Amino acid sequence: MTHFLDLTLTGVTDGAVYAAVALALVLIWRSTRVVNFAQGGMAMATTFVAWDLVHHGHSYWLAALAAIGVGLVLGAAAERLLIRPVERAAPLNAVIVALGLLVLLQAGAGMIWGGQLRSYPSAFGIKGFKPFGHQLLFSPDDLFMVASVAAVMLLLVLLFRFTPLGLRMRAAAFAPEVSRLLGIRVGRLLTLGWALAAAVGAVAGILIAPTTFVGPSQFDPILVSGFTAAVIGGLDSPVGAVAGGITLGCALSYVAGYVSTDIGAFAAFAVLITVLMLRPNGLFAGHAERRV
Amino acid sequence: MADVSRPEPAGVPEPRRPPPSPPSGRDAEPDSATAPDLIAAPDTAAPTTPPSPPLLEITDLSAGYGPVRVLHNITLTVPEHGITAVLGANGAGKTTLLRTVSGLIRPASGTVALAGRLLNRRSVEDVARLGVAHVPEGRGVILELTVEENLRLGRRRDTRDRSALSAVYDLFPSLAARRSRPGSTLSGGERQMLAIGRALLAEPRLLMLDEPSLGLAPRVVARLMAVLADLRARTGLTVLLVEQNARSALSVADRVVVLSLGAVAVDGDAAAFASDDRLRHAYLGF
Repeated sequence: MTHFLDLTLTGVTDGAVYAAVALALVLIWRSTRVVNFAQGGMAMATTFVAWDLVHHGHSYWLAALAAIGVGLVLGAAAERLLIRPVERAAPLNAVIVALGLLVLLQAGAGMIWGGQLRSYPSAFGIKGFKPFGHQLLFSPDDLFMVASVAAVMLLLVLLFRFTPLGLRMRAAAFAPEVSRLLGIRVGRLLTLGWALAAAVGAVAGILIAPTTFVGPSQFDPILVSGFTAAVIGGLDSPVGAVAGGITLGCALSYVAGYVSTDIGAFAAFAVLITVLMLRPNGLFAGHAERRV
Repeated sequence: MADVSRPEPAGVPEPRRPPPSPPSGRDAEPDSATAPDLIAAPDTAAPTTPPSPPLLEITDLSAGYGPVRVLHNITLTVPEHGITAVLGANGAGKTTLLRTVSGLIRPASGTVALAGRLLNRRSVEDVARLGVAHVPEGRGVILELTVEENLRLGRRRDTRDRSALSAVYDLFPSLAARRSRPGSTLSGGERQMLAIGRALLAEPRLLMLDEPSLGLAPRVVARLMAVLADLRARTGLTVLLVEQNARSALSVADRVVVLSLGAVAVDGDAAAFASDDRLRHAYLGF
């Protein structure tokens, strides 16, 4: 029973990271219908900025804020300068531009910070909680991770559900032309969507950096997991992204704990295929088909 | 294409009025808000209405999609306060005309001006903010959002003030009962009402409706037209109404413009047009 609990807690913690990446992907998919393959690279760049600050003696929290700020700017710039010009072209163009940005960021980070892996501090202790004498595989830092991702999701849900800005963002995503006819500045909202996504990605980067270390291509595997989580959740819903992340995290954790640690990637695809077979639009697809 | 009831513009009996193109003052930069008399001068078909300055002034407008030219040198004006119906067969350029006014299509040449301000080079958003509310064909309700969310999007500022929303619910009571339902659950008529209500919330200077009767039952169409007539009478709203359903449109329109193959074929008083059997038969087939 303790084993199961440990596996679940590990799964939830890992899943929170997948969820954070998935949230970033969902934000961009919702607004521009682009899968941002540069998401891992953008998170890598912002995390390197944070690492630089920590490395030069600044506090963890200042570095985190700086990473989020850089993420906002980086996301907005990516949308304005790279995605906007190919907005009206075929969807594949945006994907290729995103891949180009990924290569650019990885090469740039290598030039600035070098290719070697850097260790990154965790916000809180990594020694597991020990309630009633039971040692758990769940540390204060893990709790911080889960709570951070939950808070980000909650903020996004509040933004989209309950604010005029969020309503406009949803309208712009669902029906750009109608929104423009209503005087909504759709272009600005798309930029904002990318900026928010990159900021969420920055949070994800800081959260995983202590486990994966920081390096130019260190976040690429996380992007794959995050994308899987987003697809499981339906690509459209922030809540779905988090549920997809947790589902994937737990599934991988159980497989690793009960079967073998060697078939993690296989299990991830098995989960993805199973979900897509049962619910082709993802677990949280609000609307099956869009009428044109 | 080969619609026998609607001959080519060249071969039809001469329209009652000349195209509204006074030789002077028309080619100048449309700054006519200060000189309204210039435009209303040749109006003989509507003798009783006082000359009001044109709200929308379209001059020598050509537009289309890529290399395909749909509108050919269109010149027409929409006077303030009143319903101007734009009629014509499929492919006559009615929808293209509206899309060019609202900025969705960039004109190849010519100008569009709202109360003397050029719209041509403005973005769609700016045209909307200047007071043009365009309800596109197919209604433009955002199906994923609720009725109330759709309405809130119509307001220039999303405040907590609900009086404006209540006015729309009073106008279209069936929307009030469904305010928290998604737009996809509405009937065709309700969607049209929602789109019109949402457009009205922006307090537009010009309301442009693209085929509001499309796919609706005659009874629903009649009600919509009654609402438009009522709004015009109560608020002095200016409406540019694009319709295939000529009978319904003529039942409420003050002026009528008939487009044929992308050019203005008829431009005149709606009642006079409706009572002119020869013209009506030539262009509308009834």
